[in-house]
Amino acid sequence: MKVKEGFMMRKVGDQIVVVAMGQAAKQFHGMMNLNETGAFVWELLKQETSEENVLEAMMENYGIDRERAKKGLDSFLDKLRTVGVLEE
Amino acid sequence: MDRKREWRYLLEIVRYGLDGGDCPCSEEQPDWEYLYRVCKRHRIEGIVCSALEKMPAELHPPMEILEKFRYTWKVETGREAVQQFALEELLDAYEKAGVDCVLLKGILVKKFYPSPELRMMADLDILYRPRQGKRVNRILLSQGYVCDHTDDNHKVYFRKPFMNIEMHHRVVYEGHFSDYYKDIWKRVKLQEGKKHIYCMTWEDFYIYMMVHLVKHFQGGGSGIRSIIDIWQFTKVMKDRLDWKYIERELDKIKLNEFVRHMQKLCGIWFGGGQTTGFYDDLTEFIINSGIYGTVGNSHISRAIFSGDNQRKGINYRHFRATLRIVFLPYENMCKKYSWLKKYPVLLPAAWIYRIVHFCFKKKGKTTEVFGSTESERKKILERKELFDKLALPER
Repeated sequence: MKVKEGFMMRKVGDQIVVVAMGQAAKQFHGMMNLNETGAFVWELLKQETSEENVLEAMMENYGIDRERAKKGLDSFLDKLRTVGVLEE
Repeated sequence: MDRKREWRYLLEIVRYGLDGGDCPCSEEQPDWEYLYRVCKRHRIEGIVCSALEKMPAELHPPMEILEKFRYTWKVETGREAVQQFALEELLDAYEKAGVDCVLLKGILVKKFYPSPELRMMADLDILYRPRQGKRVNRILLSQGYVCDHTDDNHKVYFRKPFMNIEMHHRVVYEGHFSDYYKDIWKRVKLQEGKKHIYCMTWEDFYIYMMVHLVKHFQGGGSGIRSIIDIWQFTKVMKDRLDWKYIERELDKIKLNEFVRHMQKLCGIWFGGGQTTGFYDDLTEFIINSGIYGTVGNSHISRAIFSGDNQRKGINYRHFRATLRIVFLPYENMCKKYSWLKKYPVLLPAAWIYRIVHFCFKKKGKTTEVFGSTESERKKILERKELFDKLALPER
């Protein structure tokens, strides 16, 4: 899985936002705010990767257990799927 | 609360949003519907929202208005993200293709705001060398832009959903400042690490901001944001600029007094300085102008700055300015009716068509334009007095 082409993450002031460019902008007209963890996961999803790889990276980076990492990741991926940002 | 007090309160909120310090307070609730409209006209909703979010809840506007402020701030944040990406993409392409360009206006001035989305930017302004026009056009078209329109100063490109790029082939319109900027390419400096992307020195950028402000004052007027730009820029850069150089250069283009007034106005609006009747009038002019000025202001300015009519009285210049609205010059008519380029002899017919069209199809606009020409004499005289005190140069 990875984020679809045309979706960009940018830092604007203190905020981290995702916006759509080009063809993607025809489908997504809004903006998503990400927190620091969301931004971390987004960076991993810019290249083709697996849920397992992302989970391991989260556990290592944040020092959290698998269950907590999976809960956070599932919630985030659901949001990305709802908005149509994820390619699987 | 009377309007002047509301304006002062709004400017206090702007100061608080950008500079912190003492929280603005008011025992009386302002007319928030009116203040929101002012903020919208001047595109400062983000700045005001950032202040409101720090202020106690009892000083907030009604929730429905607060939500409007919040929504616009979010939209501006999204716009900033898109513009950032688009600018990087474009400059990368220009650098690779060897296209020389100079960054202008909002692209640079927003760096002096606490956060870039607080300085709304409708378009990206970039200067290029006219001889590289074809290359510029090719690059923009390859990135999905279309050329929306061209005028004497620039070509405007648009890409959905809202990206506007203004490619300027000259820095200023023909007029008082043309000679001063004829060697602009000799005075710009390369950005670090770049071979083709240039900026003005900060001293020259400060002068350019003032020249640009004069252009707007001489046209339809200019809004609160222009004064905020000067304030933010000066606040950050005041100890780093060569002020002797700036004064010498401003003297060449007769802008020293105008610039002194603008700095004084910043001090009054944001520094707790004492106002006077003149600065109150100037504040009223700016607030009533909106971000890009008004049709009424343009008409008054045309009557004041009428070139070789300067020796004629106000009545004559007013009459001439009215005629120019009704019977637009050939060049302006061609922009509206492109067939005139092929058949220039039909200009009188095009005028009649336009008059009839406006009378029957655009009554509201006709009323706005001609309504704004009535009661003009007094306004023209008052505005001329204001501009004379500001020491605005000829156009």
